[in-house]
Amino acid sequence: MAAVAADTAGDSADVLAGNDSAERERERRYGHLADAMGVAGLDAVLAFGPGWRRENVRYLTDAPVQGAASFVLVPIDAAPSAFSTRRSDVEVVRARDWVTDVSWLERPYAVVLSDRLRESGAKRLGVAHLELLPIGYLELIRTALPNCEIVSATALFDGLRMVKSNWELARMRRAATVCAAGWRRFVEVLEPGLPEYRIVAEVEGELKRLGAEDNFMLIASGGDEVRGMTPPGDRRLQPGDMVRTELTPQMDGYWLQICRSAVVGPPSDGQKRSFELFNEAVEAGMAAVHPGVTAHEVAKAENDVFRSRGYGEYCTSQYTRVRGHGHGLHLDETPIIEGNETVLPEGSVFIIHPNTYTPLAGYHVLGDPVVVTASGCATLIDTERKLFASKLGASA
Amino acid sequence: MKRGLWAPSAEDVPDGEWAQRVSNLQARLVADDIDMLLIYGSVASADDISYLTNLCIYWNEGVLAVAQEGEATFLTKLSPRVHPWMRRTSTLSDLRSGRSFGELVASHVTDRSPGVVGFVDGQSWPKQAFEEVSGALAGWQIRRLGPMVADLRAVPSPAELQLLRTAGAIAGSVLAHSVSSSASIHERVADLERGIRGAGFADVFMETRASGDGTTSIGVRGQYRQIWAHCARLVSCPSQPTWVATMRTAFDGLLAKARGGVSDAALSAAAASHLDGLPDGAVWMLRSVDHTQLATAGELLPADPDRPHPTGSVVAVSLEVFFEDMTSAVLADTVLLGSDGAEVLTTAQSPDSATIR
Repeated sequence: MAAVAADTAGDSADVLAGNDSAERERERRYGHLADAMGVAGLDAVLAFGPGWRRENVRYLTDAPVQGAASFVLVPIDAAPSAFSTRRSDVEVVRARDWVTDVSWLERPYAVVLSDRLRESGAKRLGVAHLELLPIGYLELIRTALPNCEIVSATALFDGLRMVKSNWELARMRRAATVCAAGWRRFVEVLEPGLPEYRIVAEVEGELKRLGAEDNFMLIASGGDEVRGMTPPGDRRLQPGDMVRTELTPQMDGYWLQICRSAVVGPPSDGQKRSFELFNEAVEAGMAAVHPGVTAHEVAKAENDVFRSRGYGEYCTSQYTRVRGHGHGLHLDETPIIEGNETVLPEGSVFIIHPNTYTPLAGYHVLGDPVVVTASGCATLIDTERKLFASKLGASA
Repeated sequence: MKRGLWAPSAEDVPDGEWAQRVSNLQARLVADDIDMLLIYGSVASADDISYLTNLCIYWNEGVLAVAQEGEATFLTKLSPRVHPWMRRTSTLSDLRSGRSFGELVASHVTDRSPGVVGFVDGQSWPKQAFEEVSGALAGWQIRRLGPMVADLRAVPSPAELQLLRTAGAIAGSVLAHSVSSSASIHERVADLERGIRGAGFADVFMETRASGDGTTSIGVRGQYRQIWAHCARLVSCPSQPTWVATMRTAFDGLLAKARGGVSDAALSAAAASHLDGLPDGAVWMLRSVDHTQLATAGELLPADPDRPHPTGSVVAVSLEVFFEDMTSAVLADTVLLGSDGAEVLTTAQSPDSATIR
C-alpha cells in the first residue's frame, strides 16, 4: 500500500492550528485521488460503503451517512455522485456540500446508479471494498459497463487515508478528549456487583453526551484466567477483578482508541508486575517510531520486551492478535504486527498496544494512539498510563 | 460493532426451540432438494445466524453451514481464541477458523459427496466470499436463494413475540422519558444509550433529526437478544408548527389501518388522506420493514408495495417527511399485525410492567 505525502501547506498558521478549511481539505483529497487514479490507470472509482465499512464514502463526502449501502462514484473527468439506500442520507450529504449530485437508492440495485455508471463511460473502474460488494451490485456494474475492467481500489484508498492532514489531526485530537472522558467514566463506575454490560452502558452514555457518533469497545473482567476481550456479558464485578477495555469513540468521522486496565480495589503484586511489563513494551514501541518506520519494526520493538523477560510465547497468535493498528476514518487500519512491512510515514496515526495474555495477571490491555512526527511520535491522548484502581472498589 | 449484553438466553428461548429452528430449516432443505445451505453474516447483518444458533457476530464476518442432517457449523476468519466465548454464548459446538472462507468450506465438504448448495440471500453475498466459496465447491450445483431463513422468521414464535414485547416496552419507555425531558439533544441521546443498553440491548442505533423550525425527531433502532425493534418520536418545540399535528394524525391514521394482510400501498393511502397540510415543497415517505430486516433497516431487499404482510408478523412502520430546506422529521413504531388490527409494541410502559433486566 502506498501512502500519499504529508500536507505540504504546513506552514500556514491556520493549518498549524488545525483550522484549515473543509474546502481545502476536499481539494486535497480529490487531488490526491486524481493522482492515484492516474498512476493506477483508472478512469473512474466507485467507493462502496457497507454498513460496517463506510470510511471511503466518508473520505469523499465528509458526511455521516447511515445507509446499509452507500456509494460515491468519481469519474476522472467529471463531478462525483453519491448514492445511499437511506433517503435521509441525501440531505446529510448535500448539507456537507462536498458532493452535490446525491441520489437515494429507493430500491436495491436502483437504475440511478446504473445510469451514472453508464454516463461515466469507464473502461477501467476501481471499486473500493470490491471484496465486500454484494453480488447484486457487482452484476449491476457489469451490466451498466459491459466492456469495463473492474479492479479493487481498496488498497488505493487505504493509501490515500494513511497520512492525516492537519485538518484531520485536529479532529482526531477532539476524539482524543472524548476517549479520555470515556475512560474516566469507566473507572468511576467500577464497583463490586456491577454487571459488565452496565459498565458499557455508562461509558456509552458519556461518549454520546460528548457528541461521539459511534464507538468500538471490547471488555473483559476477572482475574488471571481472562484470555481475551469480547462484548460484555452479565458477569458481575468482584473485588480484585482487573477490568480491561479498549474504547474507540468516533468523532466527526475519526476513530481514536485508548487501551487501559483498572482494578476493582487495590491491585495485586501480579497485576502491578503485569502493568510494568506492558508499559515497558508500549514505551519500546513508541521509541521505535520515526518517519518511514515499518509496522513490523514497531511490533518487534514491543515483542522484544516480552521476549527479553521470558514471555515471548505470549506474543503469538495463540494468545494475541496485533500489537496495534492504524486509526482514522476506519478504526482498524494497517495492523502493527511482525511481518507487515507497511511503511508508516510522517502524519500517520496508529495505536501502540501490546495487549495479550500472560500468567502474571491474565489478559492485559494498555496502549496509546500516536501520530508520527518528523522526530519520532507524539501521543494523542493525555490520560496517564498507569494501572488504575476504582475508588468504589477500594471501599468495598 | 455490537457492544451490548450478549449472554446465553435459556430463559428467553426454550432449549427445544433452538433445535426446532434448525430442524425446520433442514426440513425445508429436504423439500427443496438442497444438500447444504450457506448463510453469510457480518456485524451489520447476521440475524439469520443468531436466530439459528444465538451466535453474536460482534465484529467482522462469518458463514454458517447447515446440512440436511446434523448440527450446524460456523466458519470464520476470526481467531480460535474467540471460540470459547462463542461456545459459551451460542448453541454451536462446531466452530472452525481459517484464513479464507474458500479454505474453510473446502475443508468442511471434504468428506461429502457433491450435491446442491444454496447461498441464502445470494444477491447480498459479498463478492470475495461468494467467489472463494463457490470456487471451493467443485462439482457442486450452486443455487442463489432468496431470504429463506428470514421467511421462516416472518411470523415470530411465542418466545420471539415475548422478546419483541420486552424490547418494545424498553425502547418505548426509555424513548418516552427522553422525549419528555428538557435536556439538550446530546443529553437525550446519552440518556437513551444509558437506559437502553443498561436494560440489556445488544446493539443500538440512535437517530436524531432537526427541522428548520426547531422540531426535533429522536428515534432508536435496537437489538434485544436476537430480535430488533424501532421507534421514533417528535419532540414538541415552542413554535408548535402545524405540520407536527398533521404528521401525528397521519401516523395514527395509518396505524389504525394496519393489520394482517395490509400492504404498504394501503398504508400509504391511509396516511395520504391526512397529509395535505404539510408545508409547501415537503414530501413524505412511508416504509414498513419486517422485523427480520431491521438490522439493515430493510434497505438491502427489494420492497414490494403491494405485498400483503402476513397476519401475526411484526413490522416497523415509519413515516418520514422531507422539507425543502433539506431537513426532515420521522415517526416510527414497531407493531404486531393481528387479524383485526395492530398492537403497538413500542409503547411506554410503567417500570413495573416492562420486564427490564
